[in-house]
Amino acid sequence: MKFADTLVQREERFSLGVEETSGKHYLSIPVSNGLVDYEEYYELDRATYERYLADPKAALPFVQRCRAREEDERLIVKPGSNRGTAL
Amino acid sequence: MVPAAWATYAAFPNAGFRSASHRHRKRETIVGFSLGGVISGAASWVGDKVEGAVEEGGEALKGAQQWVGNRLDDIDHAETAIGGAIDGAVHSAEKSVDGFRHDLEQFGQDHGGVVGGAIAKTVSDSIGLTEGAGLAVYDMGKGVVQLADGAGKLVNPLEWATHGERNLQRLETVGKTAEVLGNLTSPVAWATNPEGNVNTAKALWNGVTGGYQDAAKSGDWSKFIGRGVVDIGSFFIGAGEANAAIKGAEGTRVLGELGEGAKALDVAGAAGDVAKGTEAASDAGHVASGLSKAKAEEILALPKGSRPNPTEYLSPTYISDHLAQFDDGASRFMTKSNLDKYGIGQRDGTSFVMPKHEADQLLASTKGDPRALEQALGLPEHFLDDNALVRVDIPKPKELDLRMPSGNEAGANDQWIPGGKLPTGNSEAVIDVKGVPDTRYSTTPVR
Repeated sequence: MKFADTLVQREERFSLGVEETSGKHYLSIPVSNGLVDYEEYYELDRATYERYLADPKAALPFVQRCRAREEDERLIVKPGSNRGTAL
Repeated sequence: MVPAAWATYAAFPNAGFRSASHRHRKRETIVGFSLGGVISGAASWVGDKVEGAVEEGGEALKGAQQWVGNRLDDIDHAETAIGGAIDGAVHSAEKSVDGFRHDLEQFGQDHGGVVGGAIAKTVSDSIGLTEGAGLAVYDMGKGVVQLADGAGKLVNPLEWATHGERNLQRLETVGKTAEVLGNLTSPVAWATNPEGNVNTAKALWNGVTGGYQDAAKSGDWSKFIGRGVVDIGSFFIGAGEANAAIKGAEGTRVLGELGEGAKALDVAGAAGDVAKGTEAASDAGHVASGLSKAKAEEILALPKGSRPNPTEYLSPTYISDHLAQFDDGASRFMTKSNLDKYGIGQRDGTSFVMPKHEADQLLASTKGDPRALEQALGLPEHFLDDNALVRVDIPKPKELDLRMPSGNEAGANDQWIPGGKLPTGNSEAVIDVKGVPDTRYSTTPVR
């Protein structure tokens, strides 16, 4: 998979983008398990993606739910053996 | 390969009070996650221990030797009763051994002096270590069985004890299993050559965890560590929950008293633990810092932002020793994407780091194998095929206010525990990186 960011919100610590192989839209957040920092990618439908792209602050409630692991069904990449938590 | 405990016995055939008939039975046991092997290995160790102590002690100790010998004979009788349903038999025998250990410790307390609590406790712990190791091997054996469809006899400990070679032949059908089993019967082999077991370890994982967790939760650290010595191999299969507490202080104390186990501990540290820790692992971390569990829970109960400075509950010596691990530098791993987008710090400008030597050991243990690296870091399989990984090295972290984490940092998540240890046992500290120029650290592509 190749995740291509279209928007990076450094202060709010999330990104939007498109996974180039599948064409899926995503929102990603940085996580860490103490050994490594990486990102988790959550699938968005196109309309939501475009809404967040136009108004990044509108994405914050969704970002918070991702951090709280309440949107796990949207994870594009299944977590490994030591899942990180949001930074 | 000869199991470690039996090799010890072979080197000291006349040690202690072992009967000739028992020794004979020992040599007949070819491959064993049989409980008899476990108990006999423990018995041999006890024999050596008591005999050595006799040189230092007096008549009272000779009495203790006889007493211990009698109790082991009792266990021999119990051993003969094992059969039938495997789990039931093994767990019953486990209780028998535990009862013996309790009696032994009580005996030590009652008699005091040379044969007092310290020796009795050491002997008891050593039995727990061996027992735990054996039970973990037994559990792994159940994992092996899952590889060999329909091979019912492979799950029978008596079959292993009496016709081990037949089971070996059966297992030949799943590849180099004979060699693997040779390693499985030696906890030390797991500790010293875990990479040799990597592929098979994946298949064994399901058989490992249950009893381990039970031992941890019951607070029986010696047995826990015994299992931990065996479970070191599971480092390669993302089994951090199983071996997370190996580096705990209590485990260190127990293993420190047991030469062979201490070696295993070193290897465990070199391999580095992975994955989310368990409650037991957290407990071990609290012990490591000299912090009571109650105090640790009190700190954790405080809202983030209001937790006390670690200097208020950790000794200056502990803090100094902990931070000295970073004298050669600090490191952290992250994807290049994370680094490029968010930098090396968290929202509050702090950054959690590990000692450079722990990062070195982690990379050395994986030998450039991306799958092994993913497993060591707890990442999804094939994650590194599409994600570049970088290592960030900070050569002089003390110049960036290196300190014990307080739990108030932005990067302190729900896995944080007081004392500078990850639930995995790895060490951590915090530095300030806000506004720090990139000349203060270096990044190196790992994958």
